[in-house]
Amino acid sequence: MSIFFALSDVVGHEVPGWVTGFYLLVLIGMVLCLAFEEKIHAKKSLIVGTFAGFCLVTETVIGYFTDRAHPMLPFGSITLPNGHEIALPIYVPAIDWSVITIILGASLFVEVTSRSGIFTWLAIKLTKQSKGDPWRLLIFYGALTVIFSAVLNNVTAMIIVGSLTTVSLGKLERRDLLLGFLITEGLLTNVGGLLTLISSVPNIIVGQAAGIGFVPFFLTSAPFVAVATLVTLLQARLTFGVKGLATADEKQLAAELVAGFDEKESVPSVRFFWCSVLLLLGFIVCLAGQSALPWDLDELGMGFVALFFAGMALWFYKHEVDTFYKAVDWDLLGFFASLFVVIYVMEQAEVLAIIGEGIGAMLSLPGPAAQASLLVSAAAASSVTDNIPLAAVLAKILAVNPLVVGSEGSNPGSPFWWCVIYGANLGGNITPIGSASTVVAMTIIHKNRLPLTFMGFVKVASAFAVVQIILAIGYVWITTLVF
Amino acid sequence: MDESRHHPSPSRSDEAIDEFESIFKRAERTPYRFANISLESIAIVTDGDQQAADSLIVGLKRFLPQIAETAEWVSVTGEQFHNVNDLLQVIDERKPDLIVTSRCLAESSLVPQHTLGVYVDVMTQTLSTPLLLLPGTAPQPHPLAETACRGVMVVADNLAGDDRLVNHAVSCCDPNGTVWLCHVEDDLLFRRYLDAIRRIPQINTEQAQELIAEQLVAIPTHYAESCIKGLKDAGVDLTVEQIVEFGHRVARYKNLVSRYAVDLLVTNTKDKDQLAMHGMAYALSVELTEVAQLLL
Repeated sequence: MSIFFALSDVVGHEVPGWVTGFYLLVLIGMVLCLAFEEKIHAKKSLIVGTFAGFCLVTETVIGYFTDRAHPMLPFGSITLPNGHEIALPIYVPAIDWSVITIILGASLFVEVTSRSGIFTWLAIKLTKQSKGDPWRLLIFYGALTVIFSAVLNNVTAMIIVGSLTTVSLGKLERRDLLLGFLITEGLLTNVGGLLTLISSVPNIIVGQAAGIGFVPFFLTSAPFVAVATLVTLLQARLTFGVKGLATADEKQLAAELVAGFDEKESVPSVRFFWCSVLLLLGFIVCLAGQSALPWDLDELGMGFVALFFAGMALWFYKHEVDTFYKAVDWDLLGFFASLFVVIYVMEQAEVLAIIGEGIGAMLSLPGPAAQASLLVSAAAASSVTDNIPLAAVLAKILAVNPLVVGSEGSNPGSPFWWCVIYGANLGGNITPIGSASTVVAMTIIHKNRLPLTFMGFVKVASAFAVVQIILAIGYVWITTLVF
Repeated sequence: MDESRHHPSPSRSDEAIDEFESIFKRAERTPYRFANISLESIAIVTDGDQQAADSLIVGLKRFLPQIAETAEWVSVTGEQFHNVNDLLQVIDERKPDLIVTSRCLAESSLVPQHTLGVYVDVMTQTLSTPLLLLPGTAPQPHPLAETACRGVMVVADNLAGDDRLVNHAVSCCDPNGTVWLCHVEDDLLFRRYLDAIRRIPQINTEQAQELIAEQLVAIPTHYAESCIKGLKDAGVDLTVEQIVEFGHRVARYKNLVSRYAVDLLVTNTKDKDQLAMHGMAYALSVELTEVAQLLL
């Protein structure tokens, strides 16, 4: 009950029970619509935007008729830190702009720097280094998927490595291994998505809510990512029968075939290539040291760092920046913005307090059981619907739970944050619709006319996901004991 | 509204997958692999007598000295066949690695024009053995070059990956000679596709023309470069030049043959799925009768 009261305090008004029940149904409806996005044939931003509009209108009207003196939505001016007041529409402060700016800046930066050929160059270079040996190729592509997922995002990583896999296995005349490779890469995108704070949206949302810095995040997650990657690769070797080449002739032929790739072909300008390398290193260093930036620059936040580097990179294409603006995934940004509005409305309607009650009961279990339950629940929920609403809702709920944030109201070291992060990311590996990158993996699989159904994916991938989730539970327990 | 004319735009991830696949495909090269062509048995097929066959063998040994040294020469003369089936049967018994013959074999009475003749037609369609057509026709033969074959032109509409074509050309060329690796892209066909592209609003015509032309040239160019490097690595010390251009194929090849001192044309007669003689090879065989031609 303590959670319920904590969230009620945040809301600051009484909400009739039927209103909370109504919005809980609306939230379930939205989650279901997102789960059946493919059937509805509508983009995420439109689905969630419609729900956001509906929620704003209905909550305003309900507030008007139920208690006009204390409307459910807190209309009015916003007080700035310097004491000034500014009039903003209710849906503007409802959005977490730090998350939006990180996603916008990082995606724009990746879009521009990928034009330099830096990522494709590395991918081809590693292909040649493998000498066409399937097992070495799987290890290299697996590592590449994890690194790209961490540095870029899991969708771009899957697109780059998946495309190269299709081309290189075709060249090596080993299309029989293509399905296994693509599934493994799809599964590793969600492992790689755990490596840094900006590697996946749930990381950004939960990390921001928890106050986890870039470096502590990396140091905590890196050992797990390394172990999970290794275990996944070994499991893939056994599951898909990926073996090394046996004879000298086979090795020579395969080496000759991959030697035919010319990595320089993907680099349009050597100067821009090296500038992109420097920019990328600068971007990572600045993100890592953002909290230590001097002269109050740290106050500008990670979103500014991302936008700053995106702006720097855009100077290389100063005459055609509009093409990069077009390339930004506005559907994704619209989806996030609308989602924050929906969650804000749910918070005002005390829906989060109700969900928080259930989660509070889970967190009250003995330590290891509570962590395992939260991680498994997050993974199960993430497997059937988008992990972003899940992370956003859970982050809001955990941020006011005393078992998580303690008496000081902030505890970045709480293992429960990590349960949500691991669960939300790894749950995406159970079904093909569990994460955007597994959806992309399925797109590439179907584009290559490989036979894999929804249930076929679940059958193969869930074995990997179960192992990864068990590893994550064990890792959270160990880190809780050690730190 | 006609639903069949509605093409949904690809999703952003579909576009990105396609974009990266294109980048990797562009980086893909078809490497050339050198192989020594050894011909153990060569059959001379003539509608003349043994003396005519012997005279041809002498000329051929001078023209292709590298091959002549190691090969066993057999002759199939006019008395040994009276129809195509007879000839195929004789060849089947001898199982040569190369057949040397003339256009319009055993058709002296027909005054043939613009044809290879029935015998050569059938041989190109039914046999997988390389066929060397001597200059001229059987009724009106042209003399072979007085020296060893020093100019070999590889003629292709898709040069990339055709190691067999290049290796045969190299095996026939004198070590001091020149091999021209030619690839002529059919501009009529290209213009027809561009006409179609001009009618598709989703595709920028100017950009498509520029990029497609660039790629059509890049693929054979990269392969020719790989051939030059591969031959150098294999210690083959002849001059190799590449010619990659757009134009009407037969007209361009006629022009190229007249421009360079070409002693032998090497061309593919069969596509992967095509049993009949390749269209361009046939056209060149009947148009460029003054040059010897190796049909693979």
